[in-house]
Amino acid sequence: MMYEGRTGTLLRAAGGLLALMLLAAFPFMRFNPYFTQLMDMLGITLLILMGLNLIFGYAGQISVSQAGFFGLGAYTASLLQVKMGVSFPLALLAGVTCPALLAAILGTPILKLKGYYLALATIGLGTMLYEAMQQWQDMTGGPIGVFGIQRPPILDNDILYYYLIWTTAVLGFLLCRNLTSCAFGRAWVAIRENEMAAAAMGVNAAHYKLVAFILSAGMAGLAGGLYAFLNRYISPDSFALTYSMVLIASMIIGGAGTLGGAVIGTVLVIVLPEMTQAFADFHVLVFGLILVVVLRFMPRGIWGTARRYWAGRRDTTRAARQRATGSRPMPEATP
Amino acid sequence: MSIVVEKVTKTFGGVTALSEVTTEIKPGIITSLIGPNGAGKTTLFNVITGFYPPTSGKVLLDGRPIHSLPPHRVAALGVSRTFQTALLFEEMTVLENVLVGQHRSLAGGFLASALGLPRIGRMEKKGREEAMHYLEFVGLGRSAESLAGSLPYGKKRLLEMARALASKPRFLLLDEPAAGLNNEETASLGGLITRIKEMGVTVLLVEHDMSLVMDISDHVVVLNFGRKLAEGPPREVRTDRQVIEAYLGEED
Repeated sequence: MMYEGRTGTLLRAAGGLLALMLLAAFPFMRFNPYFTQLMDMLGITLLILMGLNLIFGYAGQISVSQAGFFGLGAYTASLLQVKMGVSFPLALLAGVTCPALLAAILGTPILKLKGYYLALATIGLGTMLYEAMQQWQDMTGGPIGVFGIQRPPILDNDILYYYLIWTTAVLGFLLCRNLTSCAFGRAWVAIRENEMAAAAMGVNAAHYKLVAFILSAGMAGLAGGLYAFLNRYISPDSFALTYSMVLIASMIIGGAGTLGGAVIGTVLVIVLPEMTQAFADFHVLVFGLILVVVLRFMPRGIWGTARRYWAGRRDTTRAARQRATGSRPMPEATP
Repeated sequence: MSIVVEKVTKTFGGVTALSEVTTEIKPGIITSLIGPNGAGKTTLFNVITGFYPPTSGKVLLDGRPIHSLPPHRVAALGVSRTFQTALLFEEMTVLENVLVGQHRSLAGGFLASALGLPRIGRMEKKGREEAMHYLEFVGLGRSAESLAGSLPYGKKRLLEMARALASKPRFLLLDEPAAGLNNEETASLGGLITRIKEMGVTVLLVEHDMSLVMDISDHVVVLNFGRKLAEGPPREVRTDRQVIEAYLGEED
């Protein structure tokens, strides 16, 4: 926590309220449609990144299959709607359930792997899902994709759909905040920091890793469903392996294992390609470059480093105050 | 109310780390496990706490076999431990480390946690107070908000003990808690371990510091090359001929 006690609670409440007000007021600021589309994508990407943050940032288990889960959600929801006329809420629900179920089935064997091996296995899973979108042409339309996805009439309104996306994103944020600020989140971080010690404290590591993996897949799937109905058209290109890489890179740059890091990372995923359009397809390269620089100078990412800096200043002022009042400052060495 | 180790053998490939070791960890006392390097002390710890399944033999807790349970299940039955090189959650604060120790009493179910029910908040608040109590018990009350990774080594060892105690164990296994401590720290560690025993926690201690072992132990088990060499009260073990040979080498 950056600030503790009442001040911290007040600051966070004020910040949250301000953010909510800005989000609510956005459609009335009459920005051009391009900017609205950008805000929609921001909400959708935030869902994916917050999910990735649970399994990767908090629980410390790398998953390179998030773009695949995102795609699986998008394809499930849109194919159900286009081919079978399933209603919007049910299609969206299926878009969440399908990737979550896949993660639940494959999670137990996959999450026994660690480090590079886990990265490879999840790359395999992501690639498998991507190739299914490309090759299973009868079902998915192959490289051409799925056309004619229709929102229900009531949501055929950009402002209402914007509110739907951001209500979902805010609820997702609250879910992540609640889980990470109790024993659940501590168990995840404990597993990341030292799985052996966590087990010795009675933490069932396999169980907690699986829950994080299922949540991350479900949130990516939800984002996929929302994306399909936003765009009304999807193709495999949006769900390729490079997108998973971009997500992980942004998570690290933003600050893995912090809620603020997921928000900053999301802004990077959306804004950076827009800002680096001059580089065209090379924007992934720009991402890589930024990643290298950030890892060199701020290994905890932007938010993680800022938080540490504030915490350090707090400790210093507290020690100074204790010196001034004659009591002994904390004898701990600073890192 | 005891842990019984029955003919436990553990081999790694061709190496026999433990060979038919049988002993009992009796409740309410401090039992020390000593022996030269490579005698199998830490291996026995890992077998008891579920980190290694024994190649053969049994570990019984109150008569119930626990040697095939995973570590988190053994921990749930009230067997807690520290590690030879303090294994902390370095990026967490000192207080949060202790809270992980309380995991089993603070974990409130997925739905309640996800919804952030008031019940969870109340449990957290109570948990924090309790964690502070354990920190003060080992003398780390003032470091609660520091990052665990930033503590000096001696305090890391104390934090590991506070974390283990926070899981409210019936058995506490301490793996070389005095390693890397200076004389003063070792002396106060001895007092701390005795106070833990007085709390009603059974202690199993692996330790190389013989004066500490002889000072605080009620019972000593000696291992050598994976076999039990002797066991008994400290005074007896100290004068056992075989033990002296194992430590000092045979006289020609």
